[in-house]
Amino acid sequence: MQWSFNNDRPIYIQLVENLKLFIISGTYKPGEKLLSVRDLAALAKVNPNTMQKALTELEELGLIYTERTNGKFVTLDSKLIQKCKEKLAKEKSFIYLNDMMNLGFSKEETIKYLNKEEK
Amino acid sequence: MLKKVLKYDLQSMGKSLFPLYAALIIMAIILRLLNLVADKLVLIEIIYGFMLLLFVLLMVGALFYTFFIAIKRYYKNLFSNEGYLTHTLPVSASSLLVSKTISAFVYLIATSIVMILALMIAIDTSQIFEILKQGIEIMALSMKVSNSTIIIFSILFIILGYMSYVLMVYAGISLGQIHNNNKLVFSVVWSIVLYYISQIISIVMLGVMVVLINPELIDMINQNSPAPDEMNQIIIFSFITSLILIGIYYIISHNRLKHLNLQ
Amino acid sequence: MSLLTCHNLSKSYGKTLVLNDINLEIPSGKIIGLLGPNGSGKTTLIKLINGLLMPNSGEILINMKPVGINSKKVISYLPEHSYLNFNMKVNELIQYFSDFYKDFDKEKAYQLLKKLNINAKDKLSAMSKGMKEKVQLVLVMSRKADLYILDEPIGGVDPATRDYILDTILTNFNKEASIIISTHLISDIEKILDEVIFIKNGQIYLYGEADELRAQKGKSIDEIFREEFKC
Repeated sequence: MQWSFNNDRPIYIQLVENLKLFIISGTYKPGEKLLSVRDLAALAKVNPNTMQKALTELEELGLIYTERTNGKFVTLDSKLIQKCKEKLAKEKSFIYLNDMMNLGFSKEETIKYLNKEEK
Repeated sequence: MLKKVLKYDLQSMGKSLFPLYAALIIMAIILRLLNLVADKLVLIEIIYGFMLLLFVLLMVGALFYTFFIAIKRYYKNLFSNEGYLTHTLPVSASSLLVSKTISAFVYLIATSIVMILALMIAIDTSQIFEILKQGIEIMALSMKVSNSTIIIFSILFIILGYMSYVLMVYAGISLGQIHNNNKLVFSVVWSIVLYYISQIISIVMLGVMVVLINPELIDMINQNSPAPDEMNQIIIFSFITSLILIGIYYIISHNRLKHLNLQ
Repeated sequence: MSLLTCHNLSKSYGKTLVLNDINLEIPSGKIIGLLGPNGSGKTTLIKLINGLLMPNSGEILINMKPVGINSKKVISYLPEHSYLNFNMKVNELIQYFSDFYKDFDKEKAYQLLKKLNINAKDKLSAMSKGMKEKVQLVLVMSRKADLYILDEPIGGVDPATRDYILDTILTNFNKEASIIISTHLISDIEKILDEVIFIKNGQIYLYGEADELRAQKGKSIDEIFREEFKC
């Protein structure tokens, strides 16, 4: 998975979103140790201060935790991860449905379209 | 820090001057060798004549070139793009200026020594030294001092002369930096202005000395008959003038280095 | 404690006022963009901080001390053009920097050069313009300074070099130091900035946190800049 940003919104919020996605999708597994702030910042090509801010936010959300000497780890609370995943799925679905509605499709028609879409 | 600054100034100037020294010595050796066989072949004699001319030109140019290298180093290292690095080193303005002064001094002496050596290698100098020795003896006699005093004073005189010109141009370049445009042109203009000011100061100083110290001096200058005491006074006086001028030039340059205007 | 303070700083060249009553306080641990169009006074401000120009009025303090030998010990400065002696070899320059700057890390410099495939025995005059710029950046970033001041580090370089420069800046940034980057190419650089200073006609027009500005205006710093500085 890739880091992706645009410059229109605060970088730290986008970092939080990126990292959430990595955790939800299992790119970062529950209990896995995270790289240091510096290394993560280097990977994302952002300022370490901004990365620090994003990690603090994730920690407040409970998605990561700090072991005082060992560094930061992804939470072991799979329920919380699942909850996040569902919340995100809901958001995405809402946006999609909204877009389709704006195009003049009903919910049922949209579902039909989705079924037709081969994957 | 002075030591480190000096190391790089000497190194940098050396890169330009050592080839000159090598050329002078090599040419002197070739001349000596050609001289040994010159009267045997016309062609060699022509070559010898040509080489001799080149050698003389090189000798004449050597001191000017040394001046030029010293001044170029000063300008480039302190006031061109390189100045941005030089002036962001944690080094005081006086270290920079003292180092530039010492390195110019060192190479002017070195060039002089190499010139004398080259001359001694190239031709038989025993006659020249004989004439020089006689000259010194005549001067020593007329001034009632020893031969060695004459030699020491002559050398000091030459060194002070060298250094006052070098520092004069340093000060001229430094003053040129006050202007926001055409700094190089103004550097030359200021050097020329300083030259004339120094001439005026010398004359004024002479006047002051005549009036205050020894009114009889004026008679001596008019009659053009040097008396020993007056001669000594004039020499000491011109030493003092040179030292004062050098001091003034140093203060000007130092002041400009402390108030940079690098644009 | 603020790392860099400017108090009522003004500078003019002849009759032209270039900086007009600048007041600034810059803390440690930040990457700060000094943003403004050409001729807005960015470079003049930087030269004043480095002691290459004298202010007409006002004062500059670095670690609470005026500009001088002590400030030069802790500021690592990258000018917008080359300031190296092209007759010197790269290893001579490294020696030069480590002779004069106590905080210069030789090993780091050689490491960075190795990554660039630069031969330390090469003379600068034998290198391309881009290479010279990289050598200069390596020298500047190999110091462990309190304040790095980079004047237009990405002006006129190709995208690959730009990425290399930004990477080098980021990986060498540490919490104890601050980096001031002056540029007019904002979109390339805004991602790495903590704070931005907009400078316009010699005055500080705006000073704020980059992410806060984005949140406030819903726009990139580049767009905000373009709007504020529209001709």
